[in-house]
Amino acid sequence: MSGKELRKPDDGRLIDYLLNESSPEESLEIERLCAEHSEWNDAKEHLGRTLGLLEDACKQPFEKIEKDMSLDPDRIKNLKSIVEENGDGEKKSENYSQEAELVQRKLLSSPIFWGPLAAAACAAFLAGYPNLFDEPEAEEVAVTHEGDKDFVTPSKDNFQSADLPQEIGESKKSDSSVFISQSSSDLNAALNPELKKVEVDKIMTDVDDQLIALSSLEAESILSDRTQKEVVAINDSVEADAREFSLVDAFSTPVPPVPASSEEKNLATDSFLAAVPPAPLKTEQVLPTSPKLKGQMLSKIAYQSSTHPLIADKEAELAPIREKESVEELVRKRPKGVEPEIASLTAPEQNDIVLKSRSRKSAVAQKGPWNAPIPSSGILANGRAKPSSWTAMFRQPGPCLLFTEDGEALGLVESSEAVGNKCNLRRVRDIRQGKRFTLSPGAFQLRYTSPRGSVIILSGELDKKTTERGFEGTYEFTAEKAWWLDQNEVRKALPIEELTR
Amino acid sequence: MSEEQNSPSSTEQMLSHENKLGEWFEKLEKPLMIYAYQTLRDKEEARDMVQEAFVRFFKKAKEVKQPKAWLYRTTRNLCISHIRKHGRVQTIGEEEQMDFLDSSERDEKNPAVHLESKEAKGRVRHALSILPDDLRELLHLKFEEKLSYKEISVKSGLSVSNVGYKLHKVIMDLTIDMKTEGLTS
Repeated sequence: MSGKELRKPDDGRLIDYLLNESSPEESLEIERLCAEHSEWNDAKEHLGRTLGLLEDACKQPFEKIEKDMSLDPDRIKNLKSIVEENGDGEKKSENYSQEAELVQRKLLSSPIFWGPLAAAACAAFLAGYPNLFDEPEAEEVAVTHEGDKDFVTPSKDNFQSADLPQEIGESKKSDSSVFISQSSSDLNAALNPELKKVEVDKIMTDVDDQLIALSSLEAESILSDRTQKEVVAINDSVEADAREFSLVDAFSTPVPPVPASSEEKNLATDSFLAAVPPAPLKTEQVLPTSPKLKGQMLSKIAYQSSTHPLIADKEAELAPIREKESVEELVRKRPKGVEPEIASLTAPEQNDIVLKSRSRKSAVAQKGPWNAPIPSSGILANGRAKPSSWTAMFRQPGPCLLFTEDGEALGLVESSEAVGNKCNLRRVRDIRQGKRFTLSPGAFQLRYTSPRGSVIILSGELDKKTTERGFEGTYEFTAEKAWWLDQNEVRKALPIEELTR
Repeated sequence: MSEEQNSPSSTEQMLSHENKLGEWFEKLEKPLMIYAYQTLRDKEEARDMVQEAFVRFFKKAKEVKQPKAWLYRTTRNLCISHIRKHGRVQTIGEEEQMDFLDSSERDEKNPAVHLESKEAKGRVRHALSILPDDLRELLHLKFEEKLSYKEISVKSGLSVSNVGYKLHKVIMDLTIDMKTEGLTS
């Protein structure tokens, strides 16, 4: 066996070795390979871990697998529809993109696409130089007559092609704009002899058709991605709009134009209006009548134009300020007795940690059978004070709530025999009836509440306390950190050394 | 244009893609259901988790390189999230659940290591639970009764090499699964 082959670990040999099925010589060889090649050693460790897990698993009785371990038909149907939707979506989008590409390619290679563009370019050129044909240069070489029409042969400087005929009537010479609008087809024909027979109108119609086809394809591809919910929502919104802006409203009475100094005039409307070219109709003729509807229209415009980069930037600048304001307002206005998580958003001190417990309310609602006056919402509403002696709260036997490090309430426990920073805990009750929680060695938190409503929280390690008779349901808690909660539910650090003094 | 649209290659690709998704569903629906049920102990909740895992899988199947590992990992994560969300661990022996873990696990003070170990154990137990009875019996004879291949061969009536082959296969499959699922580093 070559060195390269030897480096590649042989899982079969390793498994046999780990299961004590190898001969002594083979075992020695495997050990040597593992010592020499890290790959072998890694593979051995990996397999060893799996075998260890298997051994552990085999010690426990195997669970019987219940019948009916499959998804119900409704769920399967739902999943099938998702697969089909995905497949169709991909297929459709693929087809649409192919189709759109083909139409686009066809359009670009067609003279009917470029013809009008060339005509427009020429028209623009002429518009830029309106006197091009009005004042013939001295170098003009010839002027010919054909019937009633005057043909001007352009100068060498103006056109390279000497045989380019330009029809300019006497009346048209004075007004270049008329010339531009009326002579585009002639120009077109002159520029490209193949297009002489094609009417510009027809070309434009074809282009329009092509563009409509292209846009409808794009639109369909976008629509194909919409979910049923989105379609329903859009339909509802359209219906609501239709109700609000009926034709009767639109044409009943004219609406005065929006004054420039109006409060509703804002950056959004400005930018929107600035982006829109002047319309031939005045706003009075089309806008809805009532001020309410006017406001709706403006807000709609503002909403639509909020995607404008300028507005988006402004919004981004304002967002943190608004958020801060709203949070402060929420804190100020929160109902009495409710302990909201928004306190976490307002904590100013870095060292202050806010307890995020979703279940405190339910815990507070549970009253201990033996003592534990857990504070009512009334006490909380009056504001919390720093406990006069927080160490006494910890040392005095009584109830407290057990939390995970994440602030999740687990249940009520009885604290007793507190010495130094340690105390014993016994489970009293779970927060959720019938739902058990698993305690594993690690960090937990205790929350003590005094009859006057002061709250302290201790964080530390929890461990099972075993006696000679084994475990009897008592746990030992070692406090490592302590805080008291102020009226905003913000933690204020307490010196943990005080417990050990 | 229509030729390109309905080209057999694209349609076949689509069909084969759908078939593959269907195959994964057929293959893993039941095992994942069992796995989710073993974690949650609630059939309806398990169904919800498995359905969600498949929905996610179908939506991003093309990005998934190891569907089996991905589906197991997603189901496991969904179950853990569900348990955390509902703040509970529901298992059979309730009083036992209140106790700490076995003495063997007491050294594992690091919660992350502890969680990983717990997940790995659960995954292996699940893998054993869905094995055919004869293979499970082989594992039992090997790991519990500590019999050699030869002794197992006598007891099971299989040849020694067949015993070795079957055990190797189970162990290797499980090792690969655990590795791809990130349960053993």
